[in-house]
Amino acid sequence: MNKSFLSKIIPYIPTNNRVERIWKLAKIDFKKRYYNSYLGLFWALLNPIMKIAIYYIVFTVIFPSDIENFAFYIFVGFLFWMGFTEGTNKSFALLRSKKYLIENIQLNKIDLYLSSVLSIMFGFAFNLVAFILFSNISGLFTSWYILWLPLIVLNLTLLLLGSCLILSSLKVFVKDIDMVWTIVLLAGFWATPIFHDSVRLFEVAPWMKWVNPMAGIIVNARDALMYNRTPDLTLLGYDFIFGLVLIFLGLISLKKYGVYAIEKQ
Amino acid sequence: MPLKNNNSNYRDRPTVIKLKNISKSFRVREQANDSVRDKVMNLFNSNQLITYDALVDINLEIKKGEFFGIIGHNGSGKSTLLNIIMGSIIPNKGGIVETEGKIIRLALGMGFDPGLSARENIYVNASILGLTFKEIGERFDEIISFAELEKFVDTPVKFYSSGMRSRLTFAIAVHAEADIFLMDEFFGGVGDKSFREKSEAIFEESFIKGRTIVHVNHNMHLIKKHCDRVLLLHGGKQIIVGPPNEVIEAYDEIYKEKSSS
Repeated sequence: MNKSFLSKIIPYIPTNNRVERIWKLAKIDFKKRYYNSYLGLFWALLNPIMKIAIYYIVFTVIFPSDIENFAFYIFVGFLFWMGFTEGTNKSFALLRSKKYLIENIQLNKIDLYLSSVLSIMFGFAFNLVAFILFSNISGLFTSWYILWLPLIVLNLTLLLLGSCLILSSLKVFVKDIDMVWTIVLLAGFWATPIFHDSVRLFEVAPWMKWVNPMAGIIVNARDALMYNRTPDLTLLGYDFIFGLVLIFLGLISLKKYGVYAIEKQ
Repeated sequence: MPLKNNNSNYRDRPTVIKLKNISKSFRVREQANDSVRDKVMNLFNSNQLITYDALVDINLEIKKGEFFGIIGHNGSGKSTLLNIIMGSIIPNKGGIVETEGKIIRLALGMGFDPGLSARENIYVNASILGLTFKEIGERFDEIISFAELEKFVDTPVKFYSSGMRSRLTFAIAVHAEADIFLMDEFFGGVGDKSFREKSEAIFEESFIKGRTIVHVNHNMHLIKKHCDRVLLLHGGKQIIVGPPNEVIEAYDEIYKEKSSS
């Protein structure tokens, strides 16, 4: 029994060669996204900043908000939210875009997911560094509480990985799941404290914390990045478990549905 | 010089591909039914399913170092069988596929991301076949010079001719030391004379190293020349497995029946 348990675990333990490969695939993925455009890599930074600028103008001029440091408040919310939406939207094409590999060479499909999520996290990291730079320049200083950040980013990564596994496997059988997902994301956008006040949101809908893990992640990220305080540990733990459960369900759905990716297309 | 194994020493070798009770049926719907809209619309009339049996009860053992041929007419299930060996298509319930070693499928112009350069494609493919990046770096020049692509290392593969792509696939497969080659109408059609000679030499060497080759081809001359054993598929059924001469005879007979009817 011990042996069979080990043989089940072993494919999931990355070997040296596997880490290299995932890293390379992620790098290629990232490069491809920005390669042929005029401004190249700069888009990875420019795109979210332009979007943030638009929201900032709307919510200071048209619907004034009384949240302090409002630009940075949106920045954090948007950064994490965009990481999640970009990653999940990308996942729908994942099995199809890597068909050339799946058909001709035996590879562990999980590598594809890991590298896809990793490439999203590259762009995310870019913007995170930009945030830290800007906020410190403008006087909103970061403190030691930023050490919580890696955990929160890991939390986002787990959540993203789990969602990608589930969504892309479902896509094999339900072709227009991406249309449904667009609506879910739109609802999620308003159910997540991206530019409205998180305190107010949780007053109106306290259950939102537990239903929408992105809300917890963003609240925690603001604690670490802007408010210099310890994140809500219950929420952090809960969202971690949420992410792990999604990954578990995702692995099952990949095994059950994702294996039909080639013949169903 | 003939490539064929003159002795049948492969018989005593371990089995590397084992297929047991392999059937594959595709369910085709008259109308597409994979979107939410279609599923709702067709909730109450669900009997438009057509089942198409691509493969019926295939049982096969291929030994290490064997040169195994698969022949059959168009639509007889050859490519589906390769996909099943590869693992990219799952057989019906009850079918067992066991393979040992690293498998690569060689088909004309397949296996690459067209947007990437030869360099990146080599790293990705060879890494999946099990090499570390250091090992790939050491063999890189060899792969490129074997594929005769020195001038195009950093050109995206989409600009390659089909001959260039096939040479690259083959070079990677050989230098990354894949154990099992699934050749889908690949061999014999690739490259000019000098490249063909080079690749034949490689094949000869492969037998010594115990590489296994599964070879799908319509060219009976090549099948006769190279294969140790051949499988004939017809309508998804396994008609006969045996030495090339016998199997090709059976193939010709089916062809006669087909053309006379």
